[in-house]
Amino acid sequence: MSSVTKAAAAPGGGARPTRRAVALTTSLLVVFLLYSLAPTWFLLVASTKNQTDLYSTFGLWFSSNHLADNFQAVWSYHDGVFGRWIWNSVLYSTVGAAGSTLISLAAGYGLAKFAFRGRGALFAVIVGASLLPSTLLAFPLYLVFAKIGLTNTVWAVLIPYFINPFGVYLGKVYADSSVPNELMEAARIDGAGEARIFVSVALRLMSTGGITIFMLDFINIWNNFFLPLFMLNGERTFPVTLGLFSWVQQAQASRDMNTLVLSGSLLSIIPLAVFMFALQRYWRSGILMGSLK
Amino acid sequence: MSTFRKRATAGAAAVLSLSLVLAACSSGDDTSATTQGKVQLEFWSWTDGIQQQVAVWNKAHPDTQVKYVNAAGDTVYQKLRAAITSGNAPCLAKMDGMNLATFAADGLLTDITKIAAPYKSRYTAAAWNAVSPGGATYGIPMGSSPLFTAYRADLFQKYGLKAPTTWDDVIAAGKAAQRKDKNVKIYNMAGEDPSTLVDLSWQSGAQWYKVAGDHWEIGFTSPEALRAGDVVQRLVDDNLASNASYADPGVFKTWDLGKTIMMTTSTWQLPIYDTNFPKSKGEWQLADAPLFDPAKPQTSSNFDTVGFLKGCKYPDRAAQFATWMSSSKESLTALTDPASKSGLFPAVKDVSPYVDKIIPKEMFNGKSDSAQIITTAASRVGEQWQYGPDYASMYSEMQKQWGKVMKKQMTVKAMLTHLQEWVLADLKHKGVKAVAAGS
Repeated sequence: MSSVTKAAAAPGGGARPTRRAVALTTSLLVVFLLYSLAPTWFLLVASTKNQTDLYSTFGLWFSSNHLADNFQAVWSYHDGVFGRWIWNSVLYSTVGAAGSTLISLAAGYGLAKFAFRGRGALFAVIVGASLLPSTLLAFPLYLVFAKIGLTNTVWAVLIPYFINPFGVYLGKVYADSSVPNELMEAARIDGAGEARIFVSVALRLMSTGGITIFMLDFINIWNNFFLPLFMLNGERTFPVTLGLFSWVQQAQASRDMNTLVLSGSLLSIIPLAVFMFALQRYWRSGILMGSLK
Repeated sequence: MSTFRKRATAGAAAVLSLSLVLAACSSGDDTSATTQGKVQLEFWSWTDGIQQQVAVWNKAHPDTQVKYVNAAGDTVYQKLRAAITSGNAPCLAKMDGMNLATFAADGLLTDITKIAAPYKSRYTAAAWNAVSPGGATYGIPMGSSPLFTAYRADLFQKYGLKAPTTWDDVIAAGKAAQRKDKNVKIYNMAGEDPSTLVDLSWQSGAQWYKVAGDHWEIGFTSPEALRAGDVVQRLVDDNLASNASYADPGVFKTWDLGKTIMMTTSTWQLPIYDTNFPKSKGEWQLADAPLFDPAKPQTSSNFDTVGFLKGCKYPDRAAQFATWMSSSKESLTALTDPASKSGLFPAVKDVSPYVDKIIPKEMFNGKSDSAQIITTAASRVGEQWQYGPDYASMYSEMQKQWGKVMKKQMTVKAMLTHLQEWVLADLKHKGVKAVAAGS
């Protein structure tokens, strides 16, 4: 992708891009677009097929339409466990991301606005921690949660989701840039306490940044697989990622469940797509803001 | 096909094995005292239809309540190791024979030899071997999948072939078919899946691992093992086998379109044939699995088991439940009904009451007695096969080399010679006494 942006940026600097550069960029972008859309297209087509057609007809075009049957099968499997998975995903993502956003903003604000001993070291540790892959921490976390008896509860996934070093880093960046020290001084002079300043002044000023953190977390948690895989037993507690995975595994064994997996995957995209489109405006400004820091 | 899933979860396994410290002590806590009063025990499985049977059991046995947990497929082995390490493992878990042996060797299971003894006579000897790696019993058999042959009767007729009885016949038929149509293959061997060699070695009477008193005898290069390897070598050398990957959900096309005209198959695959063979259903016929020695006919089978994990407090009650589930007429009748979607086939001595229902309606041409062939297969599973203490890691080592064998970069014999040395070195490293067979 970087080659695309480079090709697009190179002829900049005021001059009109040459025809060749435009053609090259456009064709690269078209290839990239196809590359991104092809899997979705396949998913859409495959979800309309029944088991037999799935293997015996051309993969990228429709045959007889069984979309309704497939959706019906997805929703009715194991007393509607799929609906439960979607609900679990929404719950884990919303609560997890909200908690994480609040903690990140508070911690970032603290790091940005208050001078205390060890601040630099603390910040370095947090930046360092954001480099640790969460996959690596899943097993130690499992042992800790097993010790305090919280495995296989909703807390076993929510509490780790609340803590997000990268979110704290972003929180600090946003606090630095969007909360002027003068405003805090003014509030103090007017007699506001520190808690009040944070809640009524700083949080509001950082709301755009907060929404960005929330979105990043929401999507991370929605797609997270490893932590719930460790912590949760029994399919009724699964988020949709883990649920679909359990279907994929069964597809290889006693019966063929590939149509369920495909239609289920298509359905599972919808909530995330809605979420993305609804918050698109913030998404774009958030990324731009991040890129300038 | 389990090999595919194994690779998919290799990442999970790698991370886990990094952080896992295994309790290497032997689990000699053979609790044979009878449990009194009400107990509750947990059972992890991922087979459809089991949950309903657990409910039936719980209703009739208020004193032994089983909590069923639907675990997510093969990653369950890593989760079980983690759960045992942290002390909150279930009492029972579904396991395959390979993992049961490895768990037992790692000291993660409960020895139930005495408790299980009264139930032994219900199951086939081969099934009991699968739950007794190294002699002591660590589980109860759950299901079996004996191997037999399915072939395209119409194409066999077209090419002038007879259903093969021996593996030599298979190779001869493969060559004869190619004289008529050079693109036709007699068999399929996937590049990622060495289970073909396991099946052939089992059928040939080989013993890769054999317990002899206080040590293991390792026999990857015994005459029986080499003759099994030789069949694979000839299939490869003469280009008689296709290489469709079982990781591909559309793998059935290879047979459905008549490119490959014979396969070895088993009970768990039967329910999905009618939907997955739209073009060729009705043209297939079952036959006994190819043999090495018609005087000593034997086939192979994978076994699902119920493993008794370390820390299981009521192994006697757990054994009552597990044996009811996998050997009582009540439970087996429900589980072998295709409506249960379990795909389970019993590991009991007399399987005849459960065969008829699992035969697909449209797949076969009705010219051979499918029920008879399935029953025969179940009765002639080789009883010599044993899973050794490092079987699972040996299998992944074999998987790496198998791909080279399929690409003709290595001979089967070279692979078996390597595995012989590899296993001896690996067991020595693990502190398990082992010698080369015949030495």
